[in-house]
Amino acid sequence: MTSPFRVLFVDDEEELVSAVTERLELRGIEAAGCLSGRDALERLAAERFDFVVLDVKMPGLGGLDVIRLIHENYPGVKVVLLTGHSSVEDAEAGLRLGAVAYLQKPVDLDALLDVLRTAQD
Amino acid sequence: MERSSVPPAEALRFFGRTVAGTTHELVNVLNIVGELAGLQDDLLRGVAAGRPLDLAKLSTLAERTRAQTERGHALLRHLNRFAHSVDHECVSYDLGDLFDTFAALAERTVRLARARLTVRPPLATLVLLGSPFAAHLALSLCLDAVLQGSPPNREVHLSAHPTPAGATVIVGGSGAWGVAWEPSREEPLRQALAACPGRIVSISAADQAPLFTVELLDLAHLGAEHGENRHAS
Repeated sequence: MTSPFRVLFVDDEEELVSAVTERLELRGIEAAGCLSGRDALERLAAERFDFVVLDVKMPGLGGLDVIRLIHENYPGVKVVLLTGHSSVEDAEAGLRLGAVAYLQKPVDLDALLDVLRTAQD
Repeated sequence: MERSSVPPAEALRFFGRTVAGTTHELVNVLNIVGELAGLQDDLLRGVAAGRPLDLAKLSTLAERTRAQTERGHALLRHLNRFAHSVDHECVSYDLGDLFDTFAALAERTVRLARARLTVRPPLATLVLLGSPFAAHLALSLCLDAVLQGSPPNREVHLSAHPTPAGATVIVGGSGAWGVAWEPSREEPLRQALAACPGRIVSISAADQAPLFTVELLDLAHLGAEHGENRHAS
């Protein structure tokens, strides 16, 4: 099966990254994971991804800084933000910076895939 | 010896911050358990659609889920112990237990600062009579100061050893640090230590990592007449 797009999933919880990327793979989506914004930028420099799904609140470079850097350096890559209940304001700031959507945690995989398919069109 | 209480506003702020950080970690645990359940569902749907059943994968999923539930239980156990630390201003507490709880509840703060906390508990059981809540606050103020200027991937260490009057506790980093220690920040630490009771032995900083040496005093050794209580749990 050919993957319709490639997704880079970024969150500082390693087990969450593993579980979500495994679930995406089971649904035929090529997916990789990173544990920090800095790692994500390094990965983007080495490989092509269509989407970055990014937790707003992470150690080191925060989600909003990462969006800015992705848009500056990889303008073709679309960003979807993930937020906790206390970081919705950050997510809205992310939309203003060019993220295509934000979803609240816990991640509903079907909702995430809907967002990715819609943004791909 | 003269003791004072932690100022109520400071106590409440610290209590709230600790509960908020720990519940955030618990939400992470629940999110992961939810994803692992979703992954199990996806695997079973695959089997229904004709894929072979991967028993090893299912077994791994059970182990991964169990690890997260154990992580959640540990966080709750430490949060419960922390919550009960405000029950009495003077109670017998084990410094090794306090270190365990402190390290567990500081995990998120340390991770967000991209540092590592290494704890060297006392070699033998070290029981002090005093305020475990104030001691937790004092350790937290030292840790915050150390983390503030911490470059990524640095180790922060916490250790203790007994003294005739209680225990010496050391919190510090190593190597060059980004932010110098501001003496104006000593006052909240002094207030927390006064409530323990305890005292600052030394703070060394300059352009190196801050190193806090404080002494937590045992009221039993000081001959104070305080009613001793036991931790509720």
